[in-house]
Amino acid sequence: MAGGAALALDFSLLESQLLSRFGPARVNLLRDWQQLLNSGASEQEKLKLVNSFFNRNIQFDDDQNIWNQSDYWATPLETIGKGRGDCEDFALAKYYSLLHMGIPMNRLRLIYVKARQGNQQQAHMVLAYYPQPNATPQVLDNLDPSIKNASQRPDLTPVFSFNGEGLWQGTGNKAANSKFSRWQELQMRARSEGHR
Amino acid sequence: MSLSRQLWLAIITLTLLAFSGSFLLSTLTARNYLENQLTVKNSDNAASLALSMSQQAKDPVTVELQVAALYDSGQYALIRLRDPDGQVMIEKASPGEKTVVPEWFRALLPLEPLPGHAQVSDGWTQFASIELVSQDSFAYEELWRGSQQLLLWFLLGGVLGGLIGSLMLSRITRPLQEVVTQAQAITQRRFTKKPLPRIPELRSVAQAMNDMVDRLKSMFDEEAARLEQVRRQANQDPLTGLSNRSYFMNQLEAALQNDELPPEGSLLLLRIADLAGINRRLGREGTDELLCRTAQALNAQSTPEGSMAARLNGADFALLLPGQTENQQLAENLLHAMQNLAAAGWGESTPIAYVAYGRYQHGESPGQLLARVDSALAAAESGMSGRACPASDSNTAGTTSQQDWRRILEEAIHSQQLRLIEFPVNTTQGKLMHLECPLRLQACEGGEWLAAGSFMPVASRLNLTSDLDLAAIRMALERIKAGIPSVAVNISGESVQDPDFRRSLAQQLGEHPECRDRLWLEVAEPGAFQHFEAFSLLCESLRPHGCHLGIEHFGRQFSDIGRLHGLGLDYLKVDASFIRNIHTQPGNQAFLKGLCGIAHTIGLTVIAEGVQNPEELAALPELGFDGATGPGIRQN
Repeated sequence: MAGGAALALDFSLLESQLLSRFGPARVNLLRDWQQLLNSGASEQEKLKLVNSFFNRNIQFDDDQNIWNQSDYWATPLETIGKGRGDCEDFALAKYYSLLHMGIPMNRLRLIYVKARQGNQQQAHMVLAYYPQPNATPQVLDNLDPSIKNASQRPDLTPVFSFNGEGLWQGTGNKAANSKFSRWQELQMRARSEGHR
Repeated sequence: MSLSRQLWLAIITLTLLAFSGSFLLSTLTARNYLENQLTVKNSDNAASLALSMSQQAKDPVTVELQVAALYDSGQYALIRLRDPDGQVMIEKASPGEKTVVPEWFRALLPLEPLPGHAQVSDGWTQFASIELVSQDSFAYEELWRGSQQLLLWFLLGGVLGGLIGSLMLSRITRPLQEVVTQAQAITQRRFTKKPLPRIPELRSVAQAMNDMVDRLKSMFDEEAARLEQVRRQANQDPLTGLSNRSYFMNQLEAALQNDELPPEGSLLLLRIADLAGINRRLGREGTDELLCRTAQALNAQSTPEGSMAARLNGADFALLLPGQTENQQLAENLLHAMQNLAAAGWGESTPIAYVAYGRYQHGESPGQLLARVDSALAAAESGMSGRACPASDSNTAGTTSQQDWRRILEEAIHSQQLRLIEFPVNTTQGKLMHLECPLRLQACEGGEWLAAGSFMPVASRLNLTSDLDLAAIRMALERIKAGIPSVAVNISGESVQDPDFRRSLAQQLGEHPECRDRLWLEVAEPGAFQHFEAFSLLCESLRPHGCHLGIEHFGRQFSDIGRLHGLGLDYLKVDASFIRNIHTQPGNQAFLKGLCGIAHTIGLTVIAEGVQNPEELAALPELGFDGATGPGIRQN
């Protein structure tokens, strides 16, 4: 498997963290995730597996209810531990999962989008997959559970995109946390859990 | 390494360590902080440029303008746009700005911030990626300026620390130095006490040294008191406290022979009439009382310098008056005092005492003089010539008036009609110690060379001793230069008191540094003790010159020996009257043995004066004498 070797997540460590922070309820989900990361042959297959895994197993809720904060970016472990997440948590969990499965980072983008639902517009985040740099991406979204080409999503208007490329990872010094962006802070937390 | 140097070294090392440590730490901290700030700025600025470009039209002009606007309005070293295939679309780069920061400093403390990266998208498609690097010259300047200021503070602080350190050091070492000088003074046998320093450690050392000095002093005083007792027993009449016959005879002989004493003088004898009868009438105690009162009356008359009263035997008393020739009034006074005693109940109607007196000159034998005065006394007793009878004079020399003397002395000093004669002073092993050189003066050209005893008393009345002494010392220095190993010269008591003399002497010695340790300077006992303050000033002013300093004719004021140990003296010459017939006088032997012992403990060389014969010389080494001089000593 192409992806398996690229990541060496220590699942026994993840499991003990899950147990101590969130209790035994979702240990099986973590194990399913572990299995997921080792499956899928092609990139398209991997996209589908990851997209449906999170869309199926994670329930949408907003940060205020989950974390008692207005906006909180959760790591994949936290999302799995809670079993709930908002749009960013879905996108981020999928992003990390695909990285672990060996998808190159430059094919993945986290994209802020304006989402139109009926007459309402809301701020939303999705994960985009670019098979080629100049291609129109495929969108992994939690509002629409199936993977679609961006051109088939007139309800979404992209605003800004980013990924981990060229991102300064910080010094790992916790005391200096306050001066990092939310993205950097998340990356540091993810790293401390064992992600790249 | 000296203590103060070690302390300095410690202070410098500590200051350097503390400051270089803090300098290094704060500079590195500043460097890291600046590097982080630059990285954050790169990252943030890249993101905000990407965000604003993503919202705008993507035609080349707009894109170019947006990059240029950011680049030109801010401080950037590089802004580069690449399309999704990695081809450079736009690049704005500037060479490093000119800066005051030297290249070596940049190399020493390099700032290596990470470039900022962000993606520009056009709708769903990727448009470009941005790489952004900020200008770092201002950060280097900040770092450079900060380091310079820190270095300045470091230097200021170092100097300040050094100053405070040296101040404290001198506070510590000053009392230490005091203790050291005291210790050195003790090794030079000057037993001085010092005030106690405030530092406890040094205080106990200084206390111990002071205690030691105290103990030595009291040891000296006890020993001196004991020996004074011995001296009295050997030389004094036990009842009246006057000199006894043998001591008086020594003094008389010296008065008739010693060139340093006045060339003429008088001897007066007093005899109490019918002592046996008085003894019967008053009993022993009453007689003793009468004798003591007679002694008091004589002492009251022995006022001139060098004069001495003695009890020769039962009823006979003597008064030696060197330099005095007019005795009529003195004899009358004595008789009057004795009559008062008689009136108070001690005498009968017969005269209680008879007095006779006679003048002497150098060269007369003591026997002759005593015989002359004795026959005058007999004449007085016989009632032939009144109760106070002058003896016939052996001859009469022409007397010279005071004005004439001044002229003679000033003339002699002016035309240098002065010379030194030599007497050897040997060690008791017979080796030459130094030559004692008394001054001789020629009164007129081709005339007689006068001994010091002839002109020094007059010179002291006329305040001319300083000039004579300085002339003598100058001649002595010339002799030393001419090759004589060591020369001793007298300094008179009057010169000792003269501050100008002390100054001139120090100056003269300063001009001949090579001769100084071969010059011996000595002051007679009365001159040293009567003007003790001035004498100790002289000792102090001469000590740095290294010449030998001593007291001659020492012995009568032996009880004052305790005062000598702070002076740093080198030698004592013991008066001839103690040495006369020393081999037959056990009392004086005991005294001199003790004197030598005590003098040796304070480092003084002891020399016997007036040694006349081999018997006397032979007795000296056992008593502890180091050297001897006198008619019986020959230069080998």
